[in-house]
Amino acid sequence: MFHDFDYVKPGSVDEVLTLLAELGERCRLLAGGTVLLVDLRDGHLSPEVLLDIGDLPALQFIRADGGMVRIGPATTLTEVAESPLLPKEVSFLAKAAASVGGPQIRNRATIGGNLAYASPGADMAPPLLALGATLRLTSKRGEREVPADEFFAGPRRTVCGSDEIVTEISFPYRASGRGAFIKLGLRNAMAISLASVGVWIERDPSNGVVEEVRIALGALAPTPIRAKAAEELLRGQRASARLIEQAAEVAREYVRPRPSSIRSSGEYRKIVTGVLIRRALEKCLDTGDLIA
Amino acid sequence: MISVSVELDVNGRHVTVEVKPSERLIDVLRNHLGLTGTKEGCGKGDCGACTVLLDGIAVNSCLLLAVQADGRKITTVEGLGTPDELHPLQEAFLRHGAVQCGYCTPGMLLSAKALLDRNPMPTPEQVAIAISGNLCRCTGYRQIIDAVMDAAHVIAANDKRQ
Repeated sequence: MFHDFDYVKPGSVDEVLTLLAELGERCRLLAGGTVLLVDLRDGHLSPEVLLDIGDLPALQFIRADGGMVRIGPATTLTEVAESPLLPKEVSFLAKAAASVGGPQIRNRATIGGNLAYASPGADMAPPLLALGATLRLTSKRGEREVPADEFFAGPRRTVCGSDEIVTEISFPYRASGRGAFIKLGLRNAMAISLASVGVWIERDPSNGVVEEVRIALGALAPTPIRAKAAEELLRGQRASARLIEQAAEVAREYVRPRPSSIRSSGEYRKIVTGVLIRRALEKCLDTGDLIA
Repeated sequence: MISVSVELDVNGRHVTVEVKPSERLIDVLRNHLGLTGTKEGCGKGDCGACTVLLDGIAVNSCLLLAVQADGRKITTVEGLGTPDELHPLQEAFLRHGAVQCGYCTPGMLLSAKALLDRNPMPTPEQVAIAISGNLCRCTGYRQIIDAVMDAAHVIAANDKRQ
């Protein structure tokens, strides 16, 4: 079925880094394999060696303490979707994981793989951008921290070097925060996003003023992006239905789909983005206590 | 390319196979071990016809290399029941007309088994999610969901009796 390659299962992260430094572009990392094996089948790739990192305990974890959540890149989407260790404030991240593919895919696919494959519609990206997440990239040369919204360089391209791997995804969270993730696909499962939004809002509990807000868009541009001008409208303000509507309008301007999109037209995506943003903001802001 | 030795527990039986690193689990199951119950519908993880259980969890065997299954437990549809003693899920599928062409059936049964092993009394919605990675071109899914709900009750009744 596939062309021939060697398969190596390193016993430690250090071993992975040594092999990556040695082999560079000649090898590929294998975690869940749910896209890698499809690319192999389609003949898009012909690596000499596959490095299986899917079972390394050092890369599989979910930890929450001191207001920080840390997730290992080889944690499966099922684990992210179902882990009781993920604080309830960030349940929209679990919802995003649960929206990918179907059970069989989620049982193998990993959060790190979803990000590293860098599809413009990667479903784990909008919630992580909204959370202001950071990716730790590690190599024999050392470590560096990259904000999630600087990780993506273009469709299917990241800033990760050929000798680097993601070793941790982390983000802060506050009890005063609320998140929302909405994905629009052509069906309820096994669907690649037409449009997805991730929103995170922290409000001053005493007066409801928006202290922090991040709005992220997926599948709507060459990479997952933040709609920063829309965020500016809301920051420091008390939410109102009108303000939400304005923010949604501004967010729509960030939509830059491919001219020839196979799943839906750019025009439709622009319109629907406004709707998704409005719904996500309403969800985070509890429309019940909005001023008119 | 050199072959490697892979040890598998397939349906309770320990087997050793010589495989190339690039061989898929689905091909080893069907061609090396003659277990043709597992079907290839798309080879891309889109249809679920190749679903098997890997240490009890549902996975697409077309997206696993055989070497990745080394030392693991695999359950195929052949491990569910025997022709003389069908699994309650298989009996329920027959009762409810949930099998037409039969091509999706092995994958459906295993996705259902994975569900019931973790959630013995699911809601219809939970069943629908559990089989959302399995396409059926024939039935419209209604009979399949009914069969899984029915099997859940049969299994619970059996467990009570014991």
